[in-house]
Amino acid sequence: MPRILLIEDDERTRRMLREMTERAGYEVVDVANGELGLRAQRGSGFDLVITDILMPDKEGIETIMELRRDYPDLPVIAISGGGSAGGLDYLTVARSLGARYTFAKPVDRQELLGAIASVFAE
Amino acid sequence: MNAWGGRGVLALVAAWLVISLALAAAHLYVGHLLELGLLADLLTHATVLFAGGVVAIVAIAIWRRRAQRAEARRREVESHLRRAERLEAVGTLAGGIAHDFNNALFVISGYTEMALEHAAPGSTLRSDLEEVLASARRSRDLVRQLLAFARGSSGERVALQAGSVIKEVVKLMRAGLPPSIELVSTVDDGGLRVYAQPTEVHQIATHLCTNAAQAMEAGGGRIEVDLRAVEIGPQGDAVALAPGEYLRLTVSDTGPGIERSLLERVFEPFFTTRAPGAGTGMGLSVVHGIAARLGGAVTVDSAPGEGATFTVYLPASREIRPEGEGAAGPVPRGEGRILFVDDDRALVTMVSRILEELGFEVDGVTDAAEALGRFRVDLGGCRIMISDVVMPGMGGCELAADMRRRRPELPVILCTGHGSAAAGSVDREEFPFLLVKPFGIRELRRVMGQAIGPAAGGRDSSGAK
Repeated sequence: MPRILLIEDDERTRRMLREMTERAGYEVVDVANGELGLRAQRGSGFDLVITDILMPDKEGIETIMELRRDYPDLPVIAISGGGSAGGLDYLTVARSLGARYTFAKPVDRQELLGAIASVFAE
Repeated sequence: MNAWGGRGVLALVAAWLVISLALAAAHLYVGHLLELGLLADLLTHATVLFAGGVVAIVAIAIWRRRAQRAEARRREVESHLRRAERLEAVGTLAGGIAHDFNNALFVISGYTEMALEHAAPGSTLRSDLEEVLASARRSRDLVRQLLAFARGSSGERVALQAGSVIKEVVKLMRAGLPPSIELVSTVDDGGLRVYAQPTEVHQIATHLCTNAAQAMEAGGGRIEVDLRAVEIGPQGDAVALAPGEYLRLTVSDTGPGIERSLLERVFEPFFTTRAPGAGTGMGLSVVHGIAARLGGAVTVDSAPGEGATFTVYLPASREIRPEGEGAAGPVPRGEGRILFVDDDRALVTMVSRILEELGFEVDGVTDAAEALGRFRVDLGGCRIMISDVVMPGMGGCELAADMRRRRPELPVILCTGHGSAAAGSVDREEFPFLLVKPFGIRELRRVMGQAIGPAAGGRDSSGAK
């Protein structure tokens, strides 16, 4: 069964995303920030990482950079709620850094599951 | 200009001429024919005094006229800046809450979609859940519109032929208008390009035309769309734009017009004169947000019963940058040290990481005084300084000016938020390279290419990294 690592700091969103992906038949491990995510990936390699962008401790862009550096073949899907710290256009940056798909929250379930399915179909 | 300054001055000059001629004649007549020296001298002095007085009055009138003009312009610019600052504050607030709001919406829509999987077709439960989902999506769209106003949508900008976008909008609008509303257009961009996303120009034109059409829904009328190239001189105008070439889009309607007291508020988010539920009041805010983000401005002119005219200025250029990938321009090679200054720590961390990925050495600091300290230690070591404009304490312009006094050729890029207030405070002749937030990697590299590409001599490469 394909394994997904889910990195999201908002607890309710994390729980919902986990249920959504588990119900679609994937094995999912969820963590609350990028640092924990990188540690989880090092411990037991996943087939796909879904990450939020704005998070405390280690945010998504930095996490994607490190994942792309250490695991160049590991597909990443980035999801951002936008707003907040301003400055860069996070999803454009995530795409430039090699995220396979990027979504602005709230994401349609079909779109997200479709993206996950197409990553695993490749 | 008041009557005393115009017709009054002319009347005084005419009176002065008549009286001076009369005095001169009297001087000749009395002084020479009657040989009364004392009276002649008195008349001469009176003539000189009178002439001097009139000259002084005329000078004061001209001075007052100029002072009044300068004061009127200052008030207009101040009012424009106040409005821009107010809108920027609303935008910042919207950007701040959008992230948490989107998370909450995501949870609502996610669980609803999952619950829908178990709801029998045709059941009351299913239709209830579908209503919840539809409302969540409406809220999502509203937040996206607010974000579009606050910080812009994602996507890369290209050297755009705005004329073709406007023509397309006119065609689409015309197809949807009732027969009672006529739409005429004159579109000539004069070969100028606007550096924007096609959707940004599309949204500006669509919102303005929709607004005009809605204003005339009841009685019908005429919409005029006009796009042309204009040049704004050093004196600028009421919208406080930097001198240069602009594309000016004007959308006028013959609708009921807007009360003067409401004109200031039409660009505020959620401000609407329409019936509750008939519109979100976001259209003109989005137009304002996009125009400001592109370095332009929007103005409105209207009076009750006289229709309304909205004018959008967008900075334009004859330079044709290559489309797509080439729009990034020459890419500076990743070598040398960059001083990056922004009071937002998260942004400093992120941009520093990106620049380091591109191969640069980065000094990322959150305080202008600290930046200045580091710069002074090694004046020649900094290849380029990139700084936010609005920071607590010393701002980016002041910081850059101080550094330039110590090293005049230092390449500088200044960053501003979406508001035109900060962008307007930058001396574009001194600091021509501006990054408007939010920017993507390609935009960052494009502006860096402009700033240090040509100036860095042999140290740069035009190859993509």
